[in-house]
Amino acid sequence: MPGKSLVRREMRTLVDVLFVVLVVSLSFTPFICPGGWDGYTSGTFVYQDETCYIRYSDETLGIDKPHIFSREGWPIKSLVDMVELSDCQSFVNGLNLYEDFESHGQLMDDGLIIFYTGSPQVTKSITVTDEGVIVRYESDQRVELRLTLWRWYFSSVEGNDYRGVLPPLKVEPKKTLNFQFMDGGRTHGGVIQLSDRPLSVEVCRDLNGLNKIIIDYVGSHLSIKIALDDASRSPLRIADRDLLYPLMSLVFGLVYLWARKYEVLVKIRPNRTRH
Amino acid sequence: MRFWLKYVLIGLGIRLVLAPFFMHAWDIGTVWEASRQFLNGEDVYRYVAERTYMLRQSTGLPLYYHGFAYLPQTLLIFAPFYRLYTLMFPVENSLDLRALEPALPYPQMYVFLLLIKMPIILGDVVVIYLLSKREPKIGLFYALNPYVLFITAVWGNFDPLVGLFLLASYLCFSERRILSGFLYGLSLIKIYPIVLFPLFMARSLSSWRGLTKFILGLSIASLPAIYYLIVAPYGFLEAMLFQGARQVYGMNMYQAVLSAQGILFQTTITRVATLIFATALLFLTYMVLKERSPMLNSVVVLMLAYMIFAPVTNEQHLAALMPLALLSQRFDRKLCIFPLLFAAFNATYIYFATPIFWTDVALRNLYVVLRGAWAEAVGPYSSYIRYFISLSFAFLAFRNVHSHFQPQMPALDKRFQIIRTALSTVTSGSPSHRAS
Repeated sequence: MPGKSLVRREMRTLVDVLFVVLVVSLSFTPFICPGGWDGYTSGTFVYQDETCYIRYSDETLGIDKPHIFSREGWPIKSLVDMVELSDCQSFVNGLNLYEDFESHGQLMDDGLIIFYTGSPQVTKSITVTDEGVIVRYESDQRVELRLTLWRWYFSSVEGNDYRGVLPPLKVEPKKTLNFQFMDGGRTHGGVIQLSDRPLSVEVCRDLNGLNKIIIDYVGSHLSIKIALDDASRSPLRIADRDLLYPLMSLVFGLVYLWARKYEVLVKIRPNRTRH
Repeated sequence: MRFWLKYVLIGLGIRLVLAPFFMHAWDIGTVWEASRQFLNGEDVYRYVAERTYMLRQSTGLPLYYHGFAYLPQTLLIFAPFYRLYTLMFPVENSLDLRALEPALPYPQMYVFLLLIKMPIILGDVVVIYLLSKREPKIGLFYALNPYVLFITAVWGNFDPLVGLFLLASYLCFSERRILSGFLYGLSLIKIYPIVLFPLFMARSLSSWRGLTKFILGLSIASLPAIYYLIVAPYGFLEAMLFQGARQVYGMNMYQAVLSAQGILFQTTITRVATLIFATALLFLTYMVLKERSPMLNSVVVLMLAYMIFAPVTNEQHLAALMPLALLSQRFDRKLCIFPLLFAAFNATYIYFATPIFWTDVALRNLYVVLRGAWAEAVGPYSSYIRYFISLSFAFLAFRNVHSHFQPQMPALDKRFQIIRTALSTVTSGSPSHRAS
């Protein structure tokens, strides 16, 4: 029955096309990911929106507490690594936030809150506003707080690259600190805005450049607002790595349809089972 | 020596040599943890439910503790072997495979791995025997297949046991319906062969007697599950729910979704994936029943459909299909290359060699260096490579599903007919003679 055979063949082609459409459609799902806070199995948290991406690692890691990225570029935005707060290098009354405290994060209505169990009690909250990312440290008592912000590398802090300056590289303690850095071949500017005047600010360097800013503060409450200076212009980018998923699925789909169209024989091994 | 015995001994020998030195620490840890709790009289499922509750409370996220979420029949298979291990090493039994830094006591670690993998190895031996008796080459292929060896002896996952039970259930289906139902019930130690339930039911419907026998066998195998359902329903159902509610993951076409970070988003996509999976499964079940496909082909098609469309399909799942699929003339054996490759870019091969690297400090440091080097070299691209492998598998498996519905001698495409005619003319000068 040639008619029936033709119908079956058309049916198979339709099923093939539907399958390819399904696979290709699924590959676009990363692009429809809604903004806001979300989490991972291990207790890692992420925040993403049109302008910002934040990663907060789980309690087994002392780094990325949080790691702040900015989204820049047109027509496709890519991530600009801004700065990272490290619990490994942060202290409360001389106690290390990573080694000496147990912590766990929890998503609340307005952001992520980290509870540090120990004495003194400390909480850290991370919220995102139109003006930037706000990291707020609060304690039930007045504490000596030492916070460390990392980046590989800062081009300069407060307009100074500190070349030829002998350590310690002291910065005048004030509420607003400006820093510059290179990413993707371009120079970006960032701002760190503190709620209170710190006790001291120090910049550290390794052989390659400035890599951390240490802020010392005494009090029970400190908030840090971190934002990318909007003075920098977005570059034109024509590709982003996430585009690879749809691209791969499209290529696979087309190759599959092409192969199915010209596939003439089904490989069937000779009947060799005794069952 | 009989050929099947030779193949059985070859397969057994290779597995016994590999088994003590490799493991997937988390998965072996799951069986170890559950066996220990079971032998101590603890409620395995309650423990998983409590850990899940704590995880959710502390993070505010819809997380699940990845613990023992299999039917209790599994415990009856593995716990005796763990008991044997504790009898051999009653004092220095300081295993902890679930810690961030696993505690692996030596040399008993090797004995533990050998014993805990023994049910899977013995299962493979039976599969080799059953396949060799039917077709010697298939038995040898299974005995030496790197993918099967990897899952059984290196990974230590028990999907090959599911494969054995499915194969045996299929072989008994025509003549010993109660045994077939019982073996199918055992195959549900991992819940995914449930996709075959409508098929088994539909094929048993030809006679009420056959159907009753199958359900009776299935019920007998499910008695431990029924027991837990009555005695500790909350924990049991919560743990079982995990398998149905897991976020998209694994070697499938949903792999791209994983790049969109966030469990809440992935949970939403999982619902869509579940809908796609259910639709595909219903359609294919309808098709195999409508087309009156042979039982073997039908089982292979539905299990492949699971591998293609299910929201969570791990590397080891194909091992449950391998014994049956090898009997099918239409199964594409190339499919087993992909999960083997996928594991290299997912857990990484070096992870499986933890028992070797943990023997001394120098090797442990080397492990850290090697993992770091691998992560640096491949890490940035691994998600794309995984997606590539997943798509390759999905399309090849989908093509293989098609081939199970195609006639054995499909008509040649028109343009190939023209080429063939032209070639015939050139070689013999008589196209009609060749064509006939």
